[in-house]
Amino acid sequence: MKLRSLYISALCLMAVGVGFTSCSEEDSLPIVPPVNNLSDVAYILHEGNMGDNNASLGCLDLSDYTYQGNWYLAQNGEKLGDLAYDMKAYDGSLYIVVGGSKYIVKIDKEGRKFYQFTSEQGEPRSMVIADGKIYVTSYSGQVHCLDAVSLAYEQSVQVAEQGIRLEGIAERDGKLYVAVAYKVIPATEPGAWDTYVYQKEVAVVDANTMTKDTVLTVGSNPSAMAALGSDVYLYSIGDYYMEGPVIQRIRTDYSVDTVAVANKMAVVGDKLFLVNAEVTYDPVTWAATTVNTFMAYDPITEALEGSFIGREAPAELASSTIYLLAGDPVTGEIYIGTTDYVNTGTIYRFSADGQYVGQFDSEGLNPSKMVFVN
Amino acid sequence: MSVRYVLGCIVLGGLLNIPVCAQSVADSLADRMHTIDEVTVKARRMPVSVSSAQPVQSVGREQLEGLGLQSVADAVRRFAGATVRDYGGIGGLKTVSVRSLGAGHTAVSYDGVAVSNTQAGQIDIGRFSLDNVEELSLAVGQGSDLLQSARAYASAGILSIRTQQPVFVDGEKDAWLVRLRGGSFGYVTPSLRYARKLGGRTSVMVEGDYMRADGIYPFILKNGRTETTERRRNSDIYSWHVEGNLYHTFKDESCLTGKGYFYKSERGLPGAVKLYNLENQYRERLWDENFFTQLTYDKRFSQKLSLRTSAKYGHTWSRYEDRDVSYVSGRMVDINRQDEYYLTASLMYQPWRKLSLSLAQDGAVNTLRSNLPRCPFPVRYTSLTALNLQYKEWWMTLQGTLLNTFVTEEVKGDERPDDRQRLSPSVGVTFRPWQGQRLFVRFLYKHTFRVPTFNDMYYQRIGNKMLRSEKAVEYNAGITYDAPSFPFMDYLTLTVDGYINRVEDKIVAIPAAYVWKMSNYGRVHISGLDAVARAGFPLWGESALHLSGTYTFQRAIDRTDPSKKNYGDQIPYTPRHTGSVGVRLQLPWVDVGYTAMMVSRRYSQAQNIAMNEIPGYAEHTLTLARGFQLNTVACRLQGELVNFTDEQYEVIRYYPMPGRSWRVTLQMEF
Repeated sequence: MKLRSLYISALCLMAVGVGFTSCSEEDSLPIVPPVNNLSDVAYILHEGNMGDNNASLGCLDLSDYTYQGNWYLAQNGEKLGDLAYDMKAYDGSLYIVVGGSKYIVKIDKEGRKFYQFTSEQGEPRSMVIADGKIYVTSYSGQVHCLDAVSLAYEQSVQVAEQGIRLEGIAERDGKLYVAVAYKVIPATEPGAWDTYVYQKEVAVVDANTMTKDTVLTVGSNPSAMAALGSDVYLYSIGDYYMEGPVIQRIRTDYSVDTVAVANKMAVVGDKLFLVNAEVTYDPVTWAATTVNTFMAYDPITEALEGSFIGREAPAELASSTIYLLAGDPVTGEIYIGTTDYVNTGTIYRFSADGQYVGQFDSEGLNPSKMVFVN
Repeated sequence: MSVRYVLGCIVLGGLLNIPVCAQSVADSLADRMHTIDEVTVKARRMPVSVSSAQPVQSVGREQLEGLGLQSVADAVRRFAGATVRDYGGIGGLKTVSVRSLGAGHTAVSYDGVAVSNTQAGQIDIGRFSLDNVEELSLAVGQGSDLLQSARAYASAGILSIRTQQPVFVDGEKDAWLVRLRGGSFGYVTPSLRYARKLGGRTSVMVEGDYMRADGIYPFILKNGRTETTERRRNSDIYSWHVEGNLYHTFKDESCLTGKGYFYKSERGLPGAVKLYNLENQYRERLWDENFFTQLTYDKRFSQKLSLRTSAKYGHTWSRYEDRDVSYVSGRMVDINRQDEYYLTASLMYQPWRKLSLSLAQDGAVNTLRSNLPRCPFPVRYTSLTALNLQYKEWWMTLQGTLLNTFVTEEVKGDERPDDRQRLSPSVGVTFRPWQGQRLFVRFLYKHTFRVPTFNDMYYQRIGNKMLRSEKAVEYNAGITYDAPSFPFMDYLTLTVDGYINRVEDKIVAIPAAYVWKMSNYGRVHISGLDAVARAGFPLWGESALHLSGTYTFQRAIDRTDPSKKNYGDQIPYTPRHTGSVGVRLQLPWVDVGYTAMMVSRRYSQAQNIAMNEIPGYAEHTLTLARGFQLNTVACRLQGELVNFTDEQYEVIRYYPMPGRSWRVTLQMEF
């Protein structure tokens, strides 16, 4: 009898384990009515990292600089998805390209609209919105055109052969400028190698007819594009081997000039802000040291000016990875976002004349884009 | 009474570390069962887990079957101190890390010879079938066998897989085993084993199995406040496994064992579930082949001198395919081939009973041929030399090892990396305060390191051939107890170990501005506690109850850079608390097994914030089995209900694990 009660108590002990449960992060979310409040705020897009569905969107209230890092999730009760690459504001709406999740979303006061890309259309990368149309580049070598109001798919143009990856896109005077980045030629036989072939092209596409006009020769591995004044600016990454990063100016006559060596650019006011990260490797340990140089390019004078941030800026900005660079079009305030790809980002705020104002945790991984809806 | 003893003996067989030698052909379970009446046993053999200076845990056939454990990974994750990374499904990658040190610090041996992967550095334990496993053991530090290879000393932990050896019924020359297993998700595995005695000194065994599963299972996808039921797709697997073994005992009682092993599989790799893009699951596929052959020779020259030597050749081939419009021909294909040539010899000398010395020398050549850009076709030559000393008194055992590692490498068309040479010491001591009591106090200090893998050094763009080795120092202190038998209790063993580990120069990919490079960057401080308890109780008649439980506490803290937000945070995928329980009830007409696995919350990224949190989970499995005799055929019918509470959980973020499933096995031996 005694023995049996011993067994029963032992079994009860085991049963304690059965009750082992836990609660998840979503349970602690505040329930916010789904109203997308789109005025006098700045949105900070976090790219996230691959496979973690941790792209996110934060919202900075420009009236009192209060910040909500998980704004999109709190507003909509859903996550943004995997790898958010691009964000634009157009006609009172916010548009986000989520590449890993293969969709584009339009957010406004009425709610959200989606367009889901097919596997044939490929992973979307960057977009430009002009004259009521969204033009999206893709890893399939195509540029897709959607209606900016309804997000209805309209047509595509094959800018480069399938497998050539398209990156940045800009629009000027009815022409689309598309960065034709690189392709991977897979090995077909054992012993052969996959080859990365870096392209040196910007394709010019007529936005109305969606036909390719011409091809311009630029720096190796073209990436981000931006329009400023009447011209278009391009950042090319280089081939990681012989050619380094470069910033080029493409004028309306299709001439291409190199204006700077840098690997981050943003249009702030009427200037192009640039950051060049110079990485040197220790010859013995190959430990890397990064030194950032901040510059501004004036398209009128065509001069490269000194740093757009003051000397009292936090010291870590000189060596951090600058992932976000933006300016408030109304106040001229400058925002710099940094990442170490592992921790949540930090956003540094500067006044229009480059005085350091403050910093805050972006509460998301890899802050990459900032859009102002004033 | 004698029947109960037999049962107890079978159970204990799982706890004992039977040496890997052909002599155990005669030492098999069946033989013991037949000769049991003639033996008078006064005391139970002490489990190695209690007497060893190194924390060792093992689980034998009886328990593996009785608890309905599904795979090698399923068994290993129940060991205290082990963390298994499981990417879900039958074909998902499964790697084991001991005490938060990372999979690269854990060696895996298959029938005494280490399995290597010089390219990736971690072994997928999902490849090994559990069906032919006699015993799995996990040693922190190293095993206590002085004749083990130098490689066995080189890692912070070693998982040993020991396969079953043939069992012949009295007077029979042939032994057959036929097994058919089926279950949820289209899982079917037929397997066949045939063993034959060739004269009194030689036996051979061949076995083969085929496995197929369509791997489609439902899971609940949580996205913020919404939940949808989705299906895991492209997680099908087809695998073939053939193995041949030879056992021979020479006239001088020395023995030779040989093995040929072939494994081939094709599987879908569903990848991480991407929100709004479940189609993404269909992109990737993997084909692989693995062949190895190994020979081991054991010889005892005298009471004082013995030798063990092994040779191995291994070849692996894999083909990975990713289909997407972002590739020129619509897909990318990676093909990797690795070869290994390996020789080891260990000599043990025991000048007098209390002192043993051993010297183990290993040599290995590893090559990689890959179609990756700028692959330098590296060839690595490794020499490992281990010198051991063991001194034994009744009240203490002292074991010391000094390991020398030398690595040199050849590369094609590029400057070769510097040679590596390193001495790493290890000291273990066990005290037994009272001669009459099986109570031990043990201490272990060990220094290990992991040589950078081929991927760390040569992978296009991010590889860094200047990498130093990743260093780890381990300290362990523990108490072990093996209770004497009582009428109401067959056995009770308890082990509790506390440990501190330091990892320096951890190899991680870090970005320099926008370019990633492998670097010696990380530093991790680890402290933890492992506790293991096992007990067996006789019930009425022939019935018995066996209980086992493990608990692990791990605090693995990043100490790399105080200016980083994750400084002082628990490293990713490392639960603070892990526990498991196992209950086996042996009744005259049915055996019942219940096991549960409990894991507390973890983080998928370095930073311990809500965004990165993965909730804890508990998984329960129930097993019913019955053995019966059909004429001369010994049959066993077993049914398992896995994860019967249908817990939805993830081990790796966005790699959902299957919910409730079942499995039925019919096995016949004749």
